[in-house]
Amino acid sequence: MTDLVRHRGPDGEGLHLGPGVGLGFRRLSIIDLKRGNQPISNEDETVTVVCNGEIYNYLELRKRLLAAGHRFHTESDVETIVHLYEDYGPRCVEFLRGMFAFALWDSRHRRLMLARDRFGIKPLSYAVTRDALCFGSEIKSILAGGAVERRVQAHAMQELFTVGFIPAPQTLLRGVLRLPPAHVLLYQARTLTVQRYWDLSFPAQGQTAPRSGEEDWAEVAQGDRVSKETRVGRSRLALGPVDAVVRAGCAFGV
Amino acid sequence: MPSFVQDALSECELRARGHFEPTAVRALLARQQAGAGDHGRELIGVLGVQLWDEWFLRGAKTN
Repeated sequence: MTDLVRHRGPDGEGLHLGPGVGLGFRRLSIIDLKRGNQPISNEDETVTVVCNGEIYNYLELRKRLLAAGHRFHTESDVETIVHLYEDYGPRCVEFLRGMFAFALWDSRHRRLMLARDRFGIKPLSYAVTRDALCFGSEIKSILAGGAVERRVQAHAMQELFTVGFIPAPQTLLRGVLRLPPAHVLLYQARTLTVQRYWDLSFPAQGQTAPRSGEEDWAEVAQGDRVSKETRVGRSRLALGPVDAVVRAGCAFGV
Repeated sequence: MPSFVQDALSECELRARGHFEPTAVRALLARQQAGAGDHGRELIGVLGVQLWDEWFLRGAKTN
């Protein structure tokens, strides 16, 4: 499965295999080049994550988590996810700013969590079969797993020719779905739930004062600070798929 | 028309993939080539699905 997305992460490969779960990962190294390989686990290795993307506010989160007693063994932005999950469970995703799609395995609760960033910058597709949930950054990884039947979704074909694209969560393949932006998927005891964790809010007219120019600038400056924090060498993370770590995997018999 | 497009939209390939009615697609293609209508959007859609099938549904990219 991971071989098929080698083009998205040529610098490394990682696997986590355990009872009921397999996570695969391909890496393009940007942050913590030596120790930042994935999957990454928490202190007692009960929570493991693979992530495609970048957590922009990881330094701030890391500081808070260290103060709360967590121990980090890498400098990777992705490690913040497992420690946040220890404290907040699936709500951990609400603390993250960035572009990401990740899969997290909680071995204590035998729970798989998939999550996608607020605007769906990073892709994530999945399929549920009789006894497994398979997922990947690209659908061809899911197909390579061999558990998903290759059958065209006729309704999606109609959408493609009517509106020119296939609205999420559908794909052109029957049984293969995209996780929508700002959503979390939980798979536990063969029960699947998909929930939205964030949405745009539009305050009613008159409820908020117009923003000042200083406020706008402060937000821009904040964004620039975050961007600088996540800069490594001469690579700018906000400018393209330079941090395109990739994961593809399967959670069997959860 | 590039050869890969001719191949993908040939009656044989259309029939083999089974997503589209070959007669209808060939008629659209004939009208397009004769300048009798603008069916570019539809034909590009058909071409996309044919290639997607070849490469990803049954093809080597996922095997």
